[in-house]
Amino acid sequence: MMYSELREVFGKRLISNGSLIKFGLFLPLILASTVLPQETDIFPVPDSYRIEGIPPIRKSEVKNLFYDPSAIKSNLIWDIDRKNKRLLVTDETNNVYLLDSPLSKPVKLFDKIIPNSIKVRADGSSFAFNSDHEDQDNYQLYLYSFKNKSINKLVTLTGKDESIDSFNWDKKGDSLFYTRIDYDQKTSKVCRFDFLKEKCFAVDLKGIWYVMDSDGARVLLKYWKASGNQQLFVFDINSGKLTAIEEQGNARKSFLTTDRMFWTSEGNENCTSEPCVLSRGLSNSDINQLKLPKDLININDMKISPKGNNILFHGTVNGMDYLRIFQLKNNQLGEEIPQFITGSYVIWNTRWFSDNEVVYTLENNGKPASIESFKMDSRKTTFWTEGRLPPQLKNKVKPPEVIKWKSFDGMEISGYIVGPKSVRKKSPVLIYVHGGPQIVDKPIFNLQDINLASNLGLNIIHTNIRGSSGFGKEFMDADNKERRADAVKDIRTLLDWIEKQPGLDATQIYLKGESYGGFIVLSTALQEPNRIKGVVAEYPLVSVSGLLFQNSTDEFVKNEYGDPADINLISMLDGLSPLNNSDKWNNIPLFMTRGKLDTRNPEKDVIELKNQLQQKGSEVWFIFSTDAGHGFGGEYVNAALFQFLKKQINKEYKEK
Amino acid sequence: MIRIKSLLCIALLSTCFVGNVFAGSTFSYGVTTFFGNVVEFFVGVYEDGDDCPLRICQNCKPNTICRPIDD
Repeated sequence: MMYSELREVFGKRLISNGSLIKFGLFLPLILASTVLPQETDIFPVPDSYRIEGIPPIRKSEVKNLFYDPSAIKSNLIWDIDRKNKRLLVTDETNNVYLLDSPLSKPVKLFDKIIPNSIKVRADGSSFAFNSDHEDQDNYQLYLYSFKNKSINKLVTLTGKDESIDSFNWDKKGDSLFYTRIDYDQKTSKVCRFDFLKEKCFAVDLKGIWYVMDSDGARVLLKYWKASGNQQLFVFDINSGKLTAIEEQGNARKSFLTTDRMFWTSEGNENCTSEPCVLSRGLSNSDINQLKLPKDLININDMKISPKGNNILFHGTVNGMDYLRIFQLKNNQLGEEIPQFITGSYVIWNTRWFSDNEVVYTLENNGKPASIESFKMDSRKTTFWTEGRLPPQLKNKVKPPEVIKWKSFDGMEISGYIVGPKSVRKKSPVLIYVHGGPQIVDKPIFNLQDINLASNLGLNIIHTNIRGSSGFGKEFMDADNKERRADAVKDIRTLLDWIEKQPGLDATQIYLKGESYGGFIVLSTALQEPNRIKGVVAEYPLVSVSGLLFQNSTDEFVKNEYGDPADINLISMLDGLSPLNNSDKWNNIPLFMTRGKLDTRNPEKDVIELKNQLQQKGSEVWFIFSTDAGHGFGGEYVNAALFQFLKKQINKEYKEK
Repeated sequence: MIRIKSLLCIALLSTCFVGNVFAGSTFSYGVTTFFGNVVEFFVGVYEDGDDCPLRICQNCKPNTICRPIDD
């Protein structure tokens, strides 16, 4: 543009006093600004993502989903340093902090490494941890020294697919015991590291084995034959002898004392009542059953105090956790310490500071996690951390409401609802199915729930369908092999239950599942062509037969899902999946993710399902990450998921 | 006419500055990851470790809170 033309456009005054010259300096900025607001308002897709079917997402539409980390405080216990009475804690960023005293400022020890488990040495000088930050799903063993403030890798793994999933200090803290699981060879080795060298013992362990406890000479081992058949063994490192303690029943929790071992058991012939806790002498092999109060049910955990005078039990009744402590005398329960936690909480990571003081984490769906300890003699509670929420997140959701419904066969299934404080006459529903399936979903502080409930008006129903843990062995095994379809029916009968609820909109039901939960929601949508309006399947299992043919965990998977050689079973399982059944898929909109490095579920099944549904004309929002594995997520995934649900809900209301 | 053009200029500059306003908000423009300094969704989990081996049931996502396993 010539000067004369500029003069014509912008007028004499601007030109004559030099303003246009100054204006010209701003011109690129101004011109850019006409474009930039639109470009910068688009949520960037990470370079490692390949997306399909996902429209551009405006940052302005999802900004409410994200918060400054300083606005939220949520702390949980990694482990305790009993000798120095201090805590190792995590926060909402998953870093590892040292908390020296109650309500002191946590000191960050390291970040960018998220341990799976941390265990402090008896003398408080260091802690061991395992982490898969170098190679997903392959955990390695590290030591953090408080003195040097440094991390050392303790063991070099040499196998093709090795992992140290579990470890334990001996009581004195002289050495670490652990199992090296070779997922390629499907064997485990029990090993000891004494800070001079590693020694692996010549005992043949087929399958997946964990170290549960050790006292220097003996190692308590768990063999994962199946979720409902966790077997217990003692390995004597001097004699090399492996002794079976519990092979028939299910031994979930166990520990050693100076002269006995204790374990929770289901299905053992020595159990005269349920729940059952057995103990056995280390020298004379006599077996005792602890006499438990009748109202002590659904035990998830038990821990003995350092000197063995008390034992704590942690469990869940009607969706709420309890923590109960009893004296332990002559291997039997004595008097109960009056209960000290009031209110409805999820309790995590109990630890004994001493025989007189216990420390634990509390949270619920409206309260971030915080840590407190309780002294039994003075009945004094000490607050170690305080949870914090920004004002815009407070009082957004109602307290969780435990729900129960009868499935097709009369089995009682339960879950809980998290709903918005402000409700419409009838609110849309998101049913969430957890992965595993041998885990349990509890009403923890959940920012996703708060966001979905408050921004989209969704009622989120968290389910613990058959196969979940926490409801006994029979419940956990009720979806095994040919009974896999029964787990899908649990969700279908939940749809019937929703139809009878006056506050829930049964014409607006969405499903969300991760991993195995993804399989259940895909299968449910296949069988419910009209009642389901949208499906979110994050890094899903798409085909059980595909899993059986590829999975490295082999025997455990076979025991849960069945034998791939069983043609009738495989045919039935294949009928549950929308893969190769896309003709029955009623074009229900689908949001699906997949990580390239996911070794648990077959990639080709996910891609094939996506292709089949796209070819059929279904709406498919798909995210493929080239550098993530199983369980991947992140800001973009969350933003896209939110937009997907928002679109489906708005579409339904518009159609009405 | 001049007045209208000046308003246009102000409007354009205002639009431009809106982006900078965001820079001071919870969004962290210019850092490696767009929301690198913010808390995102928490994972809704669970008690792992008791009934399921790590490789089967551990579903912690990067950058989100995971409950420390109590084994």
